[in-house]
Amino acid sequence: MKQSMIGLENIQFHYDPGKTILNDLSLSVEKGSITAILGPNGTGKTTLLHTILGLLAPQAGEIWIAGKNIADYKRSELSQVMALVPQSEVVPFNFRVIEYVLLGRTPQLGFLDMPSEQDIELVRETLDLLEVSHLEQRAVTELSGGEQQMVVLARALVQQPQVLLLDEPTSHLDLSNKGRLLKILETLAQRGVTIVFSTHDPDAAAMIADHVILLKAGAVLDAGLIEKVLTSEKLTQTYGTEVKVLEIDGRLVTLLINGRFGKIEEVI
Amino acid sequence: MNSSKSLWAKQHQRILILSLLLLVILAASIFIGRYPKPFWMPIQVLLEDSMAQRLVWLLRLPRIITAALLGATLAVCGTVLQMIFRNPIVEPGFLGVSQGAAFGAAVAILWLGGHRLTIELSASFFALLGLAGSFILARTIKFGGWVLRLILSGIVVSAFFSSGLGVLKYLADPLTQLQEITFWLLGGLWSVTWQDLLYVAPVVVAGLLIVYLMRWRLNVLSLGQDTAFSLGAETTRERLIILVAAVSATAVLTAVSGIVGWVGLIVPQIARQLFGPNGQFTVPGSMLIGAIFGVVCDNLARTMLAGEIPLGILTSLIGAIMFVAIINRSRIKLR
Amino acid sequence: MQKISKKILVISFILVLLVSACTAVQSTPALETEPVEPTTEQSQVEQPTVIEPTEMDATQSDPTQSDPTLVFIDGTGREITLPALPERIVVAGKATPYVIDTIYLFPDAAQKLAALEVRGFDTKEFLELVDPDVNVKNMLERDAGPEQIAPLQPDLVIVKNISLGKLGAALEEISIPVMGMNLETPEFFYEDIQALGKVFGNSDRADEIIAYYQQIEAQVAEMMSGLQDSERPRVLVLQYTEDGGEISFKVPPASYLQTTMVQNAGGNPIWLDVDGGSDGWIQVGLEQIAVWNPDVVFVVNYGGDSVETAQQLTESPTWAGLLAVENGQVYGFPADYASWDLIDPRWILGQQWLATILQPERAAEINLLSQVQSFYQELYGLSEAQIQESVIPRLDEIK
Repeated sequence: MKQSMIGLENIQFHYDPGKTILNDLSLSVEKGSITAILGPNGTGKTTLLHTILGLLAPQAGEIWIAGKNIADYKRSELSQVMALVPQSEVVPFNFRVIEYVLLGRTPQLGFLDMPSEQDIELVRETLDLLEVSHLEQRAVTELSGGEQQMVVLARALVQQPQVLLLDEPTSHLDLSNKGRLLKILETLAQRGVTIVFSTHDPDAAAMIADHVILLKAGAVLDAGLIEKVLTSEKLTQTYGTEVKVLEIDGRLVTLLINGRFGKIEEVI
Repeated sequence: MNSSKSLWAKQHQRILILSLLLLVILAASIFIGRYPKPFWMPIQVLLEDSMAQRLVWLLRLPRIITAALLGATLAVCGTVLQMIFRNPIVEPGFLGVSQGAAFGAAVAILWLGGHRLTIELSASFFALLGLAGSFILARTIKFGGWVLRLILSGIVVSAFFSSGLGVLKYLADPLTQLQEITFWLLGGLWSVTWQDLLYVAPVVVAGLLIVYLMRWRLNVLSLGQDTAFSLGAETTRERLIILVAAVSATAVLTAVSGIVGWVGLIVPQIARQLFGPNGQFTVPGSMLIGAIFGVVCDNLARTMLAGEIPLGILTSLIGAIMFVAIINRSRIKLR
Repeated sequence: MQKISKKILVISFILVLLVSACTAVQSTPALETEPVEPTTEQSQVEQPTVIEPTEMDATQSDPTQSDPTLVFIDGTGREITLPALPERIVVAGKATPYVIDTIYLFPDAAQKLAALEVRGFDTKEFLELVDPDVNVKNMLERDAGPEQIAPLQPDLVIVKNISLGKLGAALEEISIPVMGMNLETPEFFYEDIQALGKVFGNSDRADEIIAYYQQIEAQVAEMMSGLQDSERPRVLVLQYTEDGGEISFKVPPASYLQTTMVQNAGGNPIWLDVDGGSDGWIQVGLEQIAVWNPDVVFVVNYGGDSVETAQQLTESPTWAGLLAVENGQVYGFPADYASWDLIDPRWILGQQWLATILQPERAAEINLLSQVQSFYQELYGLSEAQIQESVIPRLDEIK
């Protein structure tokens, strides 16, 4: 586990001693993989992401990031390795998009430094990459949900992280934006960035991820390659409702059995 | 070079203009007053009249500088509070800072010997306590949004300190301490001497400098806790450093000027309209605008009538009018 | 470009520090000049050539006096050093009526008072009576500061002690001498009078004034000598205020002059067990007054007519049943131009009046009307006609 990009060993976490959120949880994520943390609402996905990020300190267990114990990192070092795209980022003031994205350069700046021309250049390139250059001078507070998601992603990307954590990245996105996000994450993974995202939606996981960690009640139910984990049986067990997994054009899709489509055989 | 210039060209230009404006106003203020005639002192008089020289050099100058520092500090403290608490309508007077400082000064006069340094320390301590109290209380309130809860608990803490001050007045010796407390509360800058200024200058200059240097960090701290953390901010420690710097500077100046309201609310709003919310420019911007506001208000206080007008009355009057104007045309969004 | 704004700020910080540093250097010589008198005089001599012709007289008179330097202690215990007898005196700050009324005990006041701030009571009317030219003087507005006072070119500014800390300190910063007056007790009053004697170069007058007061004090003390505690009526002094329709009652703290006056007049001040008040006076409720149930109540109403107020209280149903009301012992404190219970020269009249009420038999010799006449004649130089015409009509109640 120490050798993988992210390694968690017997993590125990709770806010109140009586209510365990993460229970003896172990996992490892390989470099350059796209891993989905999949599970129903309220199962500890965000808590797990925050624990990996170092924002929450587990009561027991060890966390390894890029072969080094997380406790041995300085705050600033850690932020050069990992970036976070939170589920919803509330920006209280109307920062311009370019200024907001520039904030992502903070980990690379000295403690009291201001961003330089090179930083601004990098931000512009990143906005270009995400095809949102036209938003540069707009106020963050006035963007649509999809636009904002892209801008927040840009802010995380200019951190130039080795690990990118995304919390429910697809929940605000329409189909075309989902498609763009998928393409971007694949590009990043090819460049060697390790991507971990949480989602409650198996289809989103199937669309983007190559690895899946199936989470139920704060513990790992199963983890591994998507073909191995994303099965009708395991999803049914995780979500407590009957789910069928199908393969269409080489991609896995899920269907709820008790949905209004009735019997699955008839649909196909 | 080009990109940064074009990105913030307007901001840099405005900072430059405001700096020049402040210098001009500071220079002009030296000649504005009631001596030898109301409103304007001819340069001839300053060159030849020894009373004019004493008045300008020993009273007017420290007063002008204190007014500039006071305006800058209150404005910057407002900016800091608004950004850290992610709430565009808070100011030192709303969060128990000013009332805490007043209470602390009274405590020092009553029980700690009333030495200048003791008053400063005690005022700073209780100002920070007031802020902490407002913050903690806001977290325990179970209804309403964050903006509303913070203001509500600020009102509660302020009321607590003002009634505490009332109790202290009961305990004070009416012939000596009570008069000192009353005078202290009235405030005003007309009695500021170089010595007064020298007592407060170190804390104020250090406070302003710290906030100024950390102005980019302030941006990061204004984002959500998880984002700020992921950007490498030692959130708790950095917030504490900035808040202590800004609030201490405010408290020691309040110990000289009495409670001066509205500057910390109105100036950050104007600064954000001129510079955008980026702390890189709103921090120096609100310092400059605050300093100009402070000096102009104090010039009015000194000159308009044959008696001194209390500074707090002027700032509240002008501030409240401007607030109405801003909130009407504004893009202040409360979440 | 962003470096520039950074530089500007850093430069302004440095400027602040520099300026403060310079002053530290600059103010040292300024401080040193004060004890060395000749230097101070020189700077004073330069002044009139530039601006004020009135200052010329002072300069000319300087050589005629061999060593005109004046050093004395004021009633607040501060040492005052003046280069010569002050010719232009300004009264400013808080609570000026007490100060002004006291200063006018000296005949030279009318001539030497250059400017004054008058607030409260009927002090202005009184001043018009004792000094017909008072309206020609510069009247300061409320809360005048050094900026407003300096143009008047005062040789000396006199303030009530409460204004020493801020106004006094600021004036001294620009080398304007400041004297404080205490006035809070008879003893302090005498010290203030002595100090004023020095200021006006008229210590004889000061002795005269003190003798006048002490003779009356001695007379009252004589009348009350041998008084048993049981013979002292239980007295309450009550300030009545009506603020926006809200009525409240307040008693003076033990350290105020009213306490001493009641004791000296043969009464027993019963309110001393409460202490502390937000503006000095301590607010009390009707319940507390009923608990005290005093034999005699003296009412003061600084914002109205104390005698009328006393009358209203007597007739008010809520007050019915109180001992003082049943026995008709609720009195309004007399006031002509200012109430007689204040730390104003008139306190000596108040003292005598209290004695006639509290111990009528022992104080039978006191004829208040003639006391009022001698007070205004001897202390303020009013003519008999003036007193009959202007003062007495304001004092119906004492007949």
